[in-house]
Amino acid sequence: MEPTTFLMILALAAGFYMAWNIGANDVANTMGTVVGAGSLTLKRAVIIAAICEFIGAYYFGSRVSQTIKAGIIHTEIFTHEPYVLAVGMVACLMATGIWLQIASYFGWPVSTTHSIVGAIAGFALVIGGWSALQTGKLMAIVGSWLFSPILGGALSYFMFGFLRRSIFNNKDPLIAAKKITPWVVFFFFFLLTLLALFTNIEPYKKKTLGVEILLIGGLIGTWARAICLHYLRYEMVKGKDGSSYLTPDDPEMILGVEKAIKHLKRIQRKSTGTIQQQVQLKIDELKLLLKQFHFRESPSDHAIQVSQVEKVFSYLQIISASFMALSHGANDVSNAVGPLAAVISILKSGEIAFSAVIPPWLLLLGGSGIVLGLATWGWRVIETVGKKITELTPSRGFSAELACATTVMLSSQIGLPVSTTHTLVGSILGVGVARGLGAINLSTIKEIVLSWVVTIPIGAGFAIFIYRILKAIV
Amino acid sequence: MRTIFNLFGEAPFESLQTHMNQVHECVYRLSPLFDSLGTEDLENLVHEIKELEHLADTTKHHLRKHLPRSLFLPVDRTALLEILSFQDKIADYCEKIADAVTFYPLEMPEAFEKEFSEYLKSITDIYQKAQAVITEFHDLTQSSFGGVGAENIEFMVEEITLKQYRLKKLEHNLFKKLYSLTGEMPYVEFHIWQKVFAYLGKVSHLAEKLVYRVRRMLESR
Repeated sequence: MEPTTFLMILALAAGFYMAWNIGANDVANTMGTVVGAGSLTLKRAVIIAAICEFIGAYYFGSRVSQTIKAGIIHTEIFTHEPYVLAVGMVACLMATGIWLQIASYFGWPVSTTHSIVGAIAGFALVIGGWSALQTGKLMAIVGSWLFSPILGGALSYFMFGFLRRSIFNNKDPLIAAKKITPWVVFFFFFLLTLLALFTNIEPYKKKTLGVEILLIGGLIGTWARAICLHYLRYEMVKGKDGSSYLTPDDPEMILGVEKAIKHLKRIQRKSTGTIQQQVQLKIDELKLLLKQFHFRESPSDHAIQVSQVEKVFSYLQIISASFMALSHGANDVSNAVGPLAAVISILKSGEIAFSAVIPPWLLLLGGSGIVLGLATWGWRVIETVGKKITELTPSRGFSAELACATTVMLSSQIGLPVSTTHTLVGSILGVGVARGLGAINLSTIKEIVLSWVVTIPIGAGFAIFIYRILKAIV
Repeated sequence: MRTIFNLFGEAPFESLQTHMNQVHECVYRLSPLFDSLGTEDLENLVHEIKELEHLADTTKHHLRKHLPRSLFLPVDRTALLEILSFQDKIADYCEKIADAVTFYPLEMPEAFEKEFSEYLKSITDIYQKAQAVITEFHDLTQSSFGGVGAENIEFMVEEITLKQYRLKKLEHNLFKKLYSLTGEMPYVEFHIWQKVFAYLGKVSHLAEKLVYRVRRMLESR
């Protein structure tokens, strides 16, 4: 077999395995909570996840893939030995695959994105020295790793803070929810449209495409809001409506008490000493009694309303989870497709002449790999995750997922590869700071930071090791 | 995926409510305890109260063990532990009372029998109101510590304050009755009753402090 064909097959296999791995392990982050909350059956969740991941990968995955393919290293360095780069990229793919397999076996929180970027950067560093790295771009990427959880946290903090103030703190949470969620849906779809389309502004700076995007966003948002309103009316008609305050049995009772208080006050003004104190006491007692009439709602009324609000959000969570899957597909497919695109381009043309375009069939391949991983293994993880994570009630899950998906989608459109898992951790933390959760283990954060430090050198080390082996064989 | 799962820790709110309920079991048995003075049931009740206090202690230790500094909570950790302390002290005083009545074969004096049972009823009532506050507080975790739930707690705290004020008057009268018996009652009995009254007063006082602490914790948010 010719070395190029062998490399090609190896590359495709390694790339496909990466994609499969992403589908098997990472997608559970997006759909786990929705299945756990019961708003989707496992089958439906897998189907929706598959569709959204694929769309995200195919339509939005090219930018990040381009970054990984040609944005980390100065590929011109390899102009005279293009095969070195090709073999290197394949080695990186294989190294990352092995490292991820080891890490998931031990349960370490390692990120696919960090691994592949670390492997590529490490490989270039060892082979070509510092000049081989696009240090500026690399710094931006590493910066985004730090920034994306923080942004996710900030967004979820504001999102849940808003929900808490406007819905949960309200006297009638369900009524407040019915008023506010259509606007939340509007905002969400508006945001989504903006994120999906905004990169189209650049080539058309002269045209008023900016305003057009806002209009399109507004239209889609309004359409979504209408659907939401209709659904709320139809679905929630069985729910409790109207004020949660029970009217007192007899308005005369309130009147009687108020009159008594007035009379007592008159006595109080005219009396002195111990009599005045005693009268004051009686007045206090009556005031308490009066309050009782207003607070006749049993605490459970409020709790019932809150649980119904959560039900509303469990449907909203379907949207936010789909958005998560979309942005995850967009950002993570690059981990497999980026290096693959580099290898294929080199092997086909025999030189380093990188186009700025990722061949669509590669994105198709990557997307399919993810879907396959999801269908064969990922569904099991989703099931397990859903059962275990009960603290993330739908309203909290919605806030965290929306914030995370927005951050990841934004990064994808900019072309920065980030870790979806770590961004989600940041978002969940943001909800915790907004007092939406019971207790959060900060030690997990330490573990994650540790994994950052460890992953890059290990990924690079593995890559070099495999590269040397491959070089000997091919 | 384990990352996300490991992110969630064991929240103390459930355990706090459990502890409160366990202490309630102790407080609830105070009335039957004094009803059974001079009968055979006394020993059983004393034993029960001690067992229940021990059970509450285990819950308390479990809670304290699972609140490491690395756990991020939506409320002040110190406040939570203080509230737990109050609950624990209430249980301790219940045990002390159970102990005290076994030092000497006591009999319920007719002179203050009625007032005493009223006193006990009020104390149990106050504690149950405090228990309701803790339950409401636990429910507040669902709605993030704001809004109607917090107002409810405010209302309940005011109620408890009023009841405590009335209780103090009851207590005053009770002591007066007791002191008026100094000639007729053997000193040892007198001494034990004095202790019992003091401990009982502590129980309701601690319940009041407990709910104040809860209110302060919510206010500072």
